[in-house]
Amino acid sequence: MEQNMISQNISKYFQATAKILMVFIVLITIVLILEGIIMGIIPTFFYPEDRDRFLAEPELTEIEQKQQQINKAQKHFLYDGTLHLVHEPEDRITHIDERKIEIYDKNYDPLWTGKRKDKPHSYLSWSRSPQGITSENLKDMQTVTPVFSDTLVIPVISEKSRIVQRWRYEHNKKYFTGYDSGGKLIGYLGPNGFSKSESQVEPFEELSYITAWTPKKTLSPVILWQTKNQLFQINFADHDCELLFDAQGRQIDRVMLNNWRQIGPEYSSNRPFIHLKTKNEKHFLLLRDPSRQIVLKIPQEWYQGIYIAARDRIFVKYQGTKGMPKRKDWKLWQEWFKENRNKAQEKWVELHEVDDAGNLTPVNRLDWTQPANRSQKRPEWKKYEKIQTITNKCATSFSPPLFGLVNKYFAEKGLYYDVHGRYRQRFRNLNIKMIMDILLFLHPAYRAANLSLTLIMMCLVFWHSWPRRTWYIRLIFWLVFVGLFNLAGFLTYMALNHTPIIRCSECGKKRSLERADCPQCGGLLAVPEKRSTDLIMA
Amino acid sequence: MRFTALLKKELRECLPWLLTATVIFLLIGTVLFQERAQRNDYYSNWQTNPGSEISAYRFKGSRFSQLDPQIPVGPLLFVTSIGLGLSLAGRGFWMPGLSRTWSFTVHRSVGRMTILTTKICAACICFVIGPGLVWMLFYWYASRPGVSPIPPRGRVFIEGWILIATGLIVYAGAALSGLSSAKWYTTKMFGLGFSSISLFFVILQRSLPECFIVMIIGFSILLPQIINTFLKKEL
Repeated sequence: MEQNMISQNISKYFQATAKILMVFIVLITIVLILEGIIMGIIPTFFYPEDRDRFLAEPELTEIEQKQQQINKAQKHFLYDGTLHLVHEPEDRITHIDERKIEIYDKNYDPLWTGKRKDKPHSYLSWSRSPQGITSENLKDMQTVTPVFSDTLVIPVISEKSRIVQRWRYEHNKKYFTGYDSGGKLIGYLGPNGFSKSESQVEPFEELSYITAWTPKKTLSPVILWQTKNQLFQINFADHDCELLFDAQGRQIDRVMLNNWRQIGPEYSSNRPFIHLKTKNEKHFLLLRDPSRQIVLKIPQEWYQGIYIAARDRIFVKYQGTKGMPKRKDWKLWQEWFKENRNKAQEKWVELHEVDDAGNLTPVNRLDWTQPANRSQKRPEWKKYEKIQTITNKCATSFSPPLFGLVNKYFAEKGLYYDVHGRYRQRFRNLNIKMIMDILLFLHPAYRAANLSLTLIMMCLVFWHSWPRRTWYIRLIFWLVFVGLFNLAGFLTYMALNHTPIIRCSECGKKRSLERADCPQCGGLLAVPEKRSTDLIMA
Repeated sequence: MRFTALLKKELRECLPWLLTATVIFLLIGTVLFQERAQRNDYYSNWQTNPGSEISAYRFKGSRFSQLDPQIPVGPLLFVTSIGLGLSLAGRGFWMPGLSRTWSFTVHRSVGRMTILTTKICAACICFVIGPGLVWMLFYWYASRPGVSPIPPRGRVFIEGWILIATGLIVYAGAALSGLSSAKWYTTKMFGLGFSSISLFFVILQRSLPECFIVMIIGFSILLPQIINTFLKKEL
């Protein structure tokens, strides 16, 4: 009997907790959605008609104009190290080869003007990151949606553009399974190559990046498969998985290519190479024709734009802005950006030649000053932004104060930004990302208003719950709950506790019906008088 | 014995909805399959230029695909499960309230817990033998040699069952709303609202264990309330 009562009490509290959770989740969802709608809709009524945010820039001095031109120009190097400044007026209509360009020397003295396709010089072309998909994109494909999750399937194409094989990436097993056009199993492809048996294939490491291209002589795609520590080139038509680079635990940070894929006529004069940077700031160069690997002795203090070019000789271009902190120090970088955004900035670009041992020899350098940005926002845009801010502050006044505390913690820990300082949370779990997005955009922007509203809600709850009190702990719980969650907490309380109250027959004060005795005087509920015909009460 | 008799009675009452959902899913799913099979040849071509960069998104299995049951059947399964969940909950928990026949349901020689258990068991059986069997049939058909260019993944089969389970979440939410004695403009519809939010989170997960965790959380919030409300409901 006692055990039954205990289990009944446990289930009673469990269902009470479940009810509070359910009501709270629904109400906080509604409150946050409404806040988002208000923040999105109201400013649109004040959106300026003129899309141009800034007034015309004030007149620059002659020196500043020249520096501005140098800043805007593209910096190109000839094979002998000479620097040219190439200016291309903005033109989105004309085909790129037909566009007019102006070539200047280092001092911005004109050298040549004409169509791009007729330019007399051939410049060094630099490594760049290829387009592709990251591990996060691949994980997003795994989302359980009504159209189910997805995965990668790489085809092998015949000369007649027909798919003759399909190689599917098994996400949880981390290798490829191949099927012919009839659906029959061909084999498996992993880092140890092709195997007919599943027991012999090895899995890849955690994937980082994939990029793909079609070679010139075939239609079947070839992919570069970058994992945490290794870089593979996979040719499914040949069933070949070639290990190009092994970082041996140092973790690959970035991969840039130049003519490696041999696509596009522009790169045909360059020696194919891959430029890899590891997380411990080491730079490697994988060359082809002939194959070689060079460890570049790039100074540790170099952390801004580093690019490589290679023909018979190998060059490194290093460019940046003086004083700009590392992006990894995201807080420092944000402060620097805020402070220097509208100031003149000193920039440079320098060219170094690389010898066989990876040592750098300076060849050329250009320094210039980007003039201060003195442009001012139009008054209507300032008004619009002010309205956005006010709307944001008013709407988020109803947000839970708890959001403000958690947001402050996340912001201080730098959890909203990845190592490159971009807004991309460091957490990979989608649920946590969503929570962090909510915290970032809907945390209380005006703390005083938020806390004042919360206090008012708490007072209302106290006034409402005092005559209805059963246990003090319950009262304290609801006060704390409303204190943490503001409007959502208040609505939850009201949804679950708005019970009727009556006047006590003994003391005349308000009391609820949820307890037998009056909390003020201890008097019991009034009992109706017994009558002779009352079969139950007699 | 009594439980079996009650279960049969519940299944009899659910039969029209079960048959409707099964027939709709089977018929429309078959049409979608046939339509995809006719385009199989189209999906066996791959247009590209030699010496060009390829967006890796072109390799998404669904994009240049193959006769997987996923693309046409998944959304249909999802909608059918939700529809079946709403229908069964409406029949089991809303209709007695609207027709004022709760007394006939509850005042029997069995406890309320048994009555509730039979309702929930009947709903689970309907989901398994309705959309469940048809889904297994479609998956088996797509796995047969020569039907799909590559056999569908095992994970897709499990995901199909997850979509069927979302119907159960909707059933639980609608049942709770049906049992609630609150006004419709207060907290009566919160059960349905919560199940909608749970549904949203279930189909947002990137891994199967996370899916299951979200479903378990959803059920563990809804089921105790259903049990408690049903046992204490004044009829």
